[in-house]
Amino acid sequence: MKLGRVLVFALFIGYGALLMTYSNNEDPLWMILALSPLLCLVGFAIVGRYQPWFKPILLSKHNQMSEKVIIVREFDFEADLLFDKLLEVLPEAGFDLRYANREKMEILASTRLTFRSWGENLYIDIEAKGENCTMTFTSTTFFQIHTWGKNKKNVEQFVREFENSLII
Amino acid sequence: MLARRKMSLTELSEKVGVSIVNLSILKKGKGKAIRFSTLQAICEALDCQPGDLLEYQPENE
Repeated sequence: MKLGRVLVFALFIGYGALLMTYSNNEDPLWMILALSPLLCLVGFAIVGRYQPWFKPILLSKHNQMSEKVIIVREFDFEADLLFDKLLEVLPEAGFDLRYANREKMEILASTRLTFRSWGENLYIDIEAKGENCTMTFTSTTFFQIHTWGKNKKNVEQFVREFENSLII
Repeated sequence: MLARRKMSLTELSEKVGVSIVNLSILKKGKGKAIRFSTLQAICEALDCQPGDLLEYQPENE
């Protein structure tokens, strides 16, 4: 396990221990202080992670709190056509479209937040290379160090569905 | 064929029930495959035969 992940894990054990130690404290200010990291986390999971400005943080190699899976594929498509096709396929594949920027050729979609999962963010970046395009699919969790292959499965399934959608 | 029938891609899309994006992909020959049902619908909408739409081109050309 990477050192960064061990540190994050230790931080959470410490936070949990702190909460348990002072759980009998009846001071409301303490309760607000103790629960604020948890509330921030939930707030970010519901709103923050769908904002495009959060992308560099979530995809940073220094971010040890999320697992990332990257798949790169090349298609002999024009970038604009591929962009439109992706916008069409994403909802059909069960993803919610959160953000799309044609100028930057980037798309953000997500799986739904459930009681069992925070859901995953799927970032798609299209890079035009002449008449061909390179598509980079990056699936990342919001706050999950290990996903037991679920992340990878999601992104592979989407890539498969995208390729199948080319049978018209 | 579209020009001969004086039909836009949008009109064809509405008649056939295939999205404009998919029709553009077919038009540019970038689709992986075409379903018989799609081919039939396009032929009906354009009043033509599959041979009027498809053309074989050897890969090295």
